[in-house]
Amino acid sequence: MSIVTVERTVLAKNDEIARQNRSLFASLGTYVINVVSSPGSGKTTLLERTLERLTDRLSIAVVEGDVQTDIDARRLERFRIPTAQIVTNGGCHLEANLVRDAIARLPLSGVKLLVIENVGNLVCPSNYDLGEHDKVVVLSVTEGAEKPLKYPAMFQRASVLVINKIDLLPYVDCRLDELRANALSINPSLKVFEVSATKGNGVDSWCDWLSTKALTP
Amino acid sequence: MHELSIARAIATIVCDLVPPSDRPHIRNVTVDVGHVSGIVPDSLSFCFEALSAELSLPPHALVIRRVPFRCYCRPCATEFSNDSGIVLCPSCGSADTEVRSGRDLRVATIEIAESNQDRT
Ligand SMILES: Nc1nc2c(ncn2[C@@H]2O[C@H](COP(=O)(O)OP(=O)(O)OP(=O)(O)O)[C@@H](O)[C@H]2O)c(=O)[nH]1
Ligand SMILES: [Mg+2]
Ligand SMILES: [Zn+2]
Repeated sequence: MSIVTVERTVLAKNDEIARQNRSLFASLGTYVINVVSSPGSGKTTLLERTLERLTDRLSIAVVEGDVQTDIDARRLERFRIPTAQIVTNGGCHLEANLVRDAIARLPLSGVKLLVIENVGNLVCPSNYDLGEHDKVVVLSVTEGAEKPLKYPAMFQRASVLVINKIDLLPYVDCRLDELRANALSINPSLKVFEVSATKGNGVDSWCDWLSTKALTP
Repeated sequence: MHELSIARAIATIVCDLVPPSDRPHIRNVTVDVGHVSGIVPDSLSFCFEALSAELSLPPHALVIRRVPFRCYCRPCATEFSNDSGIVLCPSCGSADTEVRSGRDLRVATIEIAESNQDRT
C-alpha cells in the first residue's frame, strides 16, 4: 500500500483564481463586496436603494448571480451602470472563475465599488472565495433570530451583517437584540447595520460606511 | 447542495495526483471535513459516489473524518467546543478567542494498493 500525503484544501483551485481576482481588483483600485443571503432577504432591493444614493458619488459596477433569469439585472438597468449577469443554471453559488469571466466583460477602469450579488443561499456560497474584500450577509427579520447559529459558516466568514426588513418587526416574532447577539457570538467582529430596504430606514449609514470603504485606498 | 461541486473538486485533486492506471486501485481518499464547514458528510459521500463512475474512481473510496469545532480563549487560556461554532468563551464570556479547528475542508491522504497482493 502506498500513501500519498496530500494535505490540500479542497477548493485550492477556486482560491487561486480568487487570489488572481483580488490582485486585479487591487491594481484597479476597486473595492469589492460579495453580498450573500437566503433567497428573498432583500439583496437586490438593498442594492437598488444603495445605487440611488451612491451613483452620483462614486463609480459602481455590479455582477448579478442567479440560478435562472436576468430579472435582478433588469431591475438595475435604470441606473445605467456596468452590470454583468451570471446565470448558474442550477448552480447554488458563484465560484471565482465565473466572476473572473464576468468581470472580463465589464469596463472596470475607474470603478471604485464592485457589488457581487451572490445566488440566494445561506449555505453554499460560504465556502467560495470570489476575490472580494468583504462578504456582506443580509438577513431579514422574518427569517428568525436563530439563523446565525444554524448557518454559522456564513456568519463566520462575513465581515458585515445587514439586518433587513426591520419595518416588519411589529409583525414577526424576532427580537433584534437576540439576533444581533447570536450573530456576534459566531463572529464578534461583525459590523452590523439595521435597515428597511423598502422604506429606506438605516440605508444612509450603510451607504456612508460603504462609500468610505470604497473611497479609502 | 454544493456538495456536488465539492465532490468534483476532491475528484480533480485525486486525478491530478494519481495517474489513470492507478485510479482503480485507490483504497481510500481521506478528507477532513470541519463540523462548521457547511458541508453535509452524507451528501458529500453520495455525490462522490455518483461522480466516481465517469472518472473510474472506486465509488466507496471516500473516507470522511469529521473535525470537531475547537476554540481557544486567550484571556483564560482554556479550550472549548460546541456544536454551533459559537466563539464566545463559556467560562469568562470573552470574544478574544481563536478558532483552532472545525472549519476545515481538506484532502488529507490518498491510499493506493500497490502490489498485486494488495490489489486482489
Ligand atoms: N417589508 C419589506 N420587504 C422587503 C424589504 N426588502 C425587500 N423586501 C421584499 O422582499 C422581497 C425579496 O426582495 P429581493 O430584493 O428580490 O430579495 P433578494 O435577496 O434579492 O432575492 P434573490 O435574489 O431572489 O435571492 C421583495 O418582495 C421585496 O420587496 C424590506 O426592508 N421590508
Ligand atoms: Mg436578488
Ligand atoms: Zn475565557
